[in-house]
Amino acid sequence: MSFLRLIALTALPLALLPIVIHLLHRRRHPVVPWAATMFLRRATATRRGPARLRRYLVLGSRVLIVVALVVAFARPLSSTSFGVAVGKGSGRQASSVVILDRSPSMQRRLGNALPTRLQTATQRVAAALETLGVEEFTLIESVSRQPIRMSEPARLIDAARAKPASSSANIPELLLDALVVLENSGEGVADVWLCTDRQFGDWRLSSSQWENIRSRLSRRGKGLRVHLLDFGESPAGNASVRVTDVRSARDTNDELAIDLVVESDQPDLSSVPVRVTLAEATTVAEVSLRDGVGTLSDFHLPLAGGWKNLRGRVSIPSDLNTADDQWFFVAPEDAARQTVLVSETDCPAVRLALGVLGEVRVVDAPTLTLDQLDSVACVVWQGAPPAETQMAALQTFVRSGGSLVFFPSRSVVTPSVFEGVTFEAFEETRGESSFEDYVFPFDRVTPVRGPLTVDADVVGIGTVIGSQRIGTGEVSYCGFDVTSLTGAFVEDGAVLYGLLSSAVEAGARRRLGAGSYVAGEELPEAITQRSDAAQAVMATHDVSGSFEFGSHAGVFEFAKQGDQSGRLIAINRDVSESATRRVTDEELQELFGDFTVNRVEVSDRGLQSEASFVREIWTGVWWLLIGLLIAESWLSLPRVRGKAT
Amino acid sequence: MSAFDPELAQRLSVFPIAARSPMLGSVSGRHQSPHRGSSVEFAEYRRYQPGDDPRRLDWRAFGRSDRFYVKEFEADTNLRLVLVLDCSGSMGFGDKFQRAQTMASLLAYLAVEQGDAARLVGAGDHCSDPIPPRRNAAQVSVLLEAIESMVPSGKTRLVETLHEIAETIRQRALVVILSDLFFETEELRSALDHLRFRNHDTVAFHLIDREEIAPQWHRRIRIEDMEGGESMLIEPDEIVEAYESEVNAFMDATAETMRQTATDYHIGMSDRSLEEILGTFLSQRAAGASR
Repeated sequence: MSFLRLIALTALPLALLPIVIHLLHRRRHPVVPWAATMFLRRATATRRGPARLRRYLVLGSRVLIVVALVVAFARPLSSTSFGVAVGKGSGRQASSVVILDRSPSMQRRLGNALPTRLQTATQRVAAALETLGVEEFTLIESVSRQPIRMSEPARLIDAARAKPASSSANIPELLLDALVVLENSGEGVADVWLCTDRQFGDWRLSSSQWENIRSRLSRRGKGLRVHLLDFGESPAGNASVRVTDVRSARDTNDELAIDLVVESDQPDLSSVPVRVTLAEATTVAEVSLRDGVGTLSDFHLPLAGGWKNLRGRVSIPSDLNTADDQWFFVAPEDAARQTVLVSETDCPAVRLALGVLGEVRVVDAPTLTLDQLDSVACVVWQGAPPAETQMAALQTFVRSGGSLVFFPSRSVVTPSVFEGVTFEAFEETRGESSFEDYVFPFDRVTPVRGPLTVDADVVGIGTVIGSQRIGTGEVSYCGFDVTSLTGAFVEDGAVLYGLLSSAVEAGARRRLGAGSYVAGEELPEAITQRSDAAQAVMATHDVSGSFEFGSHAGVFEFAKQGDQSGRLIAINRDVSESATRRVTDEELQELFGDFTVNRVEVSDRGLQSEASFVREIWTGVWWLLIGLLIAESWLSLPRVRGKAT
Repeated sequence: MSAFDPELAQRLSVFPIAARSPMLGSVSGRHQSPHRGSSVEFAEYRRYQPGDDPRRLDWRAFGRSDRFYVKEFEADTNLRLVLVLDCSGSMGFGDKFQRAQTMASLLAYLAVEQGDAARLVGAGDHCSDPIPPRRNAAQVSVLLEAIESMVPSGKTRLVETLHEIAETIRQRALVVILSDLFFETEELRSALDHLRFRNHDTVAFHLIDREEIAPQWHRRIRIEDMEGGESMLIEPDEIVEAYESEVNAFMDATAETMRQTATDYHIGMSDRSLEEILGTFLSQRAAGASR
């Protein structure tokens, strides 16, 4: 049992007072001369037992009355687990830190017509803190992870920083932040309220921070209690939707094609109606589910308004968690044909071909950044392999659907160009090869070695044109010299143009969704720099005036500003937030090691009647006291005696 | 302060001390004797037998029947009052012994006053020697002095004393017992039977303090036996109920014993006045004698 006024328990020895008084009373008795001792002797021999039992019961009830009074003054709590934070009266300074997970999984309701996990957590933690007499606490929420000092627990319920967000939580980082805050505040006792569910993705079991956390918890010892809210198993009844691909329809440029996935935690659910909203038009499609999973592939949407400001939303009917019932996408018009050329020397043939296919920007290799590839369909790289920074940018670019075409350097030969693929030294040899059934000549060629698909080869040399899929993008390797206009391969030009044309086309198609980002993850600098200018066009939550750009799902528009063009981006939740996998008890035990976490059960039972999972139990103590007083009075009443003669 | 109350004695003297059965006195008195005597009250005719006083022949009867008859009359004799005063330690509780002393002195006075012989026997370990019966007026002061000199202490010897009285006093007497009777009822029955066997008219004044029947103990106390060194620690709550039950049983048993042994039984509760107790006794006796 925990107590709000621990110091009152020092009065518990007063419970011995009735016994001491009883013993003193036994020692101090008057001596009375008595004539009729014969009756006393007889009475003593026969009837003493029940009266003695009654006397001991009276004594016991008096002891219990004193104990109950002391306990009442100590203000007992309904739970046994909150003793550390209840430092009032014990002379210890207690700190409280509330870690709040605002991720989409916390927006799951505990049941039909019941509040969400996030609402429940904030309400009940606020109530618990008020009950415990906590006047100040530190809030660390999953979006900003900035410690905020709050003075009134009730303000937690309506705090802007306690509202739902679309970004995932990083529990180990949040815990570490809390421990740092506590370490900076001194060595006093502390409570950490971990308001999160057991969403597997949020707990980052493989994070290297857990070792650090265990070490810090161990150092802190018993002066720290971590209260983990346990929402238990949620009832089934939730489905989620996400778009896996947005592209222009392959056969027509007037339609958009999307792929989407619907997942449900109800295996027997047969279909879900999906509303697809593109610009102002809404289409409903019925997605059939099997074992809780259904897909809608290559779903065509007519582009009535053209490609300008193309944005959309996919949604399913509201269920237990509305945060995963929508998915936003955009298809920026200027992303269709933009290309970047990086070359060690001028490649006029390539530049001309790219110019024909779309807008081309020539960039020096060392200056290439990921930001420059934000709305680019294809990158053509000629020359020495990319440096580490550019390599990372290109990998990200390709994984997000971009096309990358490599041409060998005129002079530099390196072991690896990209993803384990290498160009060897040029061979001056004339010959012919074929690409997509087109025979073309060459006079200077280098074989391409590595894990790739052969698109063209030469007998005795090997692969001369190959490709590989990385993520949703594609990388092509062409082992011909494109720096000179006099080479046979360039002079023929057909394969060069076809290769670049298909790369740009595919990249543009795949990169239609390139303006999509995951909430909470790092955004390109070009976007973050202009976050103040972002306007929500579509959004899950009311994000007007939000200071948390990037953490809420929706479609956001950047107006044209100076030389920077306007554009749309879509932000969605991390798909792991819809996963049903939870961190198990064993995994929790492993994460915290020897440190004991107090699991506070938050079930849907009692939500209506009990505002807090910790409350003072005055009523019970007073009823006990009243019962004891009645019992003591009854036992002390004079017994009904036989009528004397 | 003297145990004798002259004013109370004056008020009580309107009632004579009467025996329920004929007494065998040594001198004539106001009590009926089992023998025929020379009083004025005719009893019966009896045939003359040699040795009879010829002066008691009824010549008128001889004239009518030609036979010699002797005319007999009732004989009146005096009464021997034996006061048995229990002077054991238990009689020292409250004012029991003072009340017993007063009652004894009043009865002694009334007896001597009406010409009867009074005797005092103390029943206890430390009582004075018995005072032999006398009829003279000086006997009153002797008895009063002896009564007042008695101090309640030690164990009771009432049963032994009553047996001794039954054995030693041959002539019928009025035996008045003044005691709290705090001993086994069966022993008392034996002694009273013995007295009845000797044709004594036995009266028992059962002197009890109200506190002894319904003790008002409010806290733990140590009880010391007034008739010995024994003591016991008692918790009132534990004992009172059973104690009162035992007292009730004792009172019932005592009353039954008195009834079976034809003892004239009077309870002298401390809250009743002596005048009431003695007045009741004397008036009942006077009424019985007139019948």
